[in-house]
Amino acid sequence: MPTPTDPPIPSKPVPSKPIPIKPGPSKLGQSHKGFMLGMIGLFFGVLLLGAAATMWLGGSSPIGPVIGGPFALTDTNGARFTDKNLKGTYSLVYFGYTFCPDVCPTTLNQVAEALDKLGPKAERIRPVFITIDPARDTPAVMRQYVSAFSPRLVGLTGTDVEIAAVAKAYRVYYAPHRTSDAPGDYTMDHSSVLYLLGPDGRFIAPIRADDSAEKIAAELSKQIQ
Amino acid sequence: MIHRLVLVAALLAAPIVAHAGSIQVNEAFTRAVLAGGVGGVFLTIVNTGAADRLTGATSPNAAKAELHQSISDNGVMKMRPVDGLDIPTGGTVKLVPGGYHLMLTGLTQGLTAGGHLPVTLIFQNAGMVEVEAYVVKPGGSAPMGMAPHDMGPHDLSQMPRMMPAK
Repeated sequence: MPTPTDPPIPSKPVPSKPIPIKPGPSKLGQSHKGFMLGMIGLFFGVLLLGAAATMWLGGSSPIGPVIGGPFALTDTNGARFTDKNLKGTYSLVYFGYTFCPDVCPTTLNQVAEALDKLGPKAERIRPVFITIDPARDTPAVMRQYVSAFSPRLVGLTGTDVEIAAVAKAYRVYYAPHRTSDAPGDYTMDHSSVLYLLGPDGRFIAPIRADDSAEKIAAELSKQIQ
Repeated sequence: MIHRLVLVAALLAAPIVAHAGSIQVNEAFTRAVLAGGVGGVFLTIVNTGAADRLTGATSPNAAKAELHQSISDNGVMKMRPVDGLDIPTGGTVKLVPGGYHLMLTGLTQGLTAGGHLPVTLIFQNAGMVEVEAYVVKPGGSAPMGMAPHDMGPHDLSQMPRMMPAK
């Protein structure tokens, strides 16, 4: 069974807030303790600044977690598919499961329609669907499912450990929710966000999964050079 | 006693309306899916009479039909069964993608776009209402011929009060 991973990222970037600064001692030389607390605060403040500068220079966002990273999964033909296979073209990645009657098919259809509306730029985007329910979503199940939406949609599954790893890298939360005592009677709670990755495989931006095809197409058009 | 009145227009994709007493069900649709998969049924219930309550559903093509609600909780989508849906006096209740739906599990045969899926809705007062849900493409939100309307989860203004399952 999959286990809950890190908390999900919100579907829209959270505006950065200034780090609240604790008020220092109200009077100079109030106490030795106050002075020490101030020095400790300054020390960690410098550390934080250094970390932020390092991330900034490294090309990552200085705020929020880094999204994405290495993974090794299995495609619908049973072949290995890793993060390296994502390089060379933009990717639009969504996590869900095939036994989802509502949100997952709605989103995948909106993505297919968005790519239809996008015109020539759509050829530079590869839509990818990664299951967070590997127990039921075998490569064969995934193959039949994704082909119903678009011949270009890449379906990926893996072992419990592999899915947990890729979900953790993308800050995707997922957990089974039992609907009865019968085995296999469960739905999955899961983060519902579209991840746009660049041709270098790096995360560019999240896109709301509940947006209309028009809005998704407009966002893709804006982000893709 | 099962009331049944199904009006089928000449066009294939025309909305199918079913009613019993003061309850009328229209714009029923579901999505193409393979046998053994799960189906979601979406529809609009119009009540021209006294308050009623949708308490369940069945389908000869599915092992089980449950009333579910999709909930977005800080970017995490969850589905939860609900005991029933209050249909207020003179009110309209919509089961739409991202909101309420009937979840059909153990489909005995695949659903193909353009076909129909029989579903029986069970109301506290009106009894059973038989509906033919039109099958749209996978993930589709409304068949052609239906009045276009906003299907996003943000459009929950007309959503009735939820009664959580015990």
